[in-house]
Amino acid sequence: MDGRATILRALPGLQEEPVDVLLALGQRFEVSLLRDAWVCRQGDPSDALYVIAEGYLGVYRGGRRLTVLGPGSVVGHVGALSGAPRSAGLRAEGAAALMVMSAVVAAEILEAEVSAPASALRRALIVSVGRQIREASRALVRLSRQAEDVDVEAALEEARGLP
Amino acid sequence: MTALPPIPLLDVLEPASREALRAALVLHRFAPGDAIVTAGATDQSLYILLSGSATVVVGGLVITTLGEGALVGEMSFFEPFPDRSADVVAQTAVAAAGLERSSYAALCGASPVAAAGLERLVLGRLAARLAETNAQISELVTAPPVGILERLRRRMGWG
Repeated sequence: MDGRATILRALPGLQEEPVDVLLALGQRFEVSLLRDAWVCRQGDPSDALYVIAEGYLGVYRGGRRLTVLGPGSVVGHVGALSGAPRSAGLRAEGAAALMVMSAVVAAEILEAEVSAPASALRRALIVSVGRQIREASRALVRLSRQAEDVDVEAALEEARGLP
Repeated sequence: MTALPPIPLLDVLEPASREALRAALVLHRFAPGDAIVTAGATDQSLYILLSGSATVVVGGLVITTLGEGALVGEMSFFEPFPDRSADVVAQTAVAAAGLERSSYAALCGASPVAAAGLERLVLGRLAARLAETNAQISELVTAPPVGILERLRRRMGWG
């Protein structure tokens, strides 16, 4: 198994895929090496999705680093799927190796192709997006509770100001 | 076995794929208050709501309400280690078309075009849901807090 196939095997949903499927899927990616450089910036066109092979990418929004993603993460796929501009910037923190699939190739595979590699990619992205939804839902619950707390504080403040 | 009604959600599939997928679906009925899926459970059925409505509850908070055409259980369906992330509870009487994971595996062999159609459907729905959830988060983060008294004032028409 070559390097790209080995990296793909580490992705959630692809652990059980046959080697020939992973080899075929791996050939649809380009490899990009970069160091302390922007992969894309917030607001850029979403022209590719990425699998982090080595190193780490910072996720930046509004100038703030929200999180850091490491090897085996799929990133940039939501924009590549929806066509919406990048909702966050991605920056290599040190040296990083990425597997890059252009949005055009991704659309061809995901929308039109009926093959084992295409099915594997769709399922890997489903799992990845599903996990992001779980995290986002937990964040939403946390923020909603914080907002309720703020409401109580605001009510107390306002009550103190009443005649 | 009760025949499935037409499922508009599947109209995007070409007829042969649609029929192959319909043949793999089983009709389920839920009474109000029944759990369609339960958080933490490891079953792997996917449901298409045919009628009625259901609430999605995470950590005791109602995240959204689902109606006809919604997918339920699709996040765990392709997971290697399924773990339901939310309770989905029937709000009214619900009819749903269910697909077992083993039926999907059989579909992949018998009708890969139908299986691909299902995968595209699920991926599209999940991408839309993630965008919607992220928008809700952005709204919470950026909206100024509104006090309870202010809400009362607005509701009661005070001052």
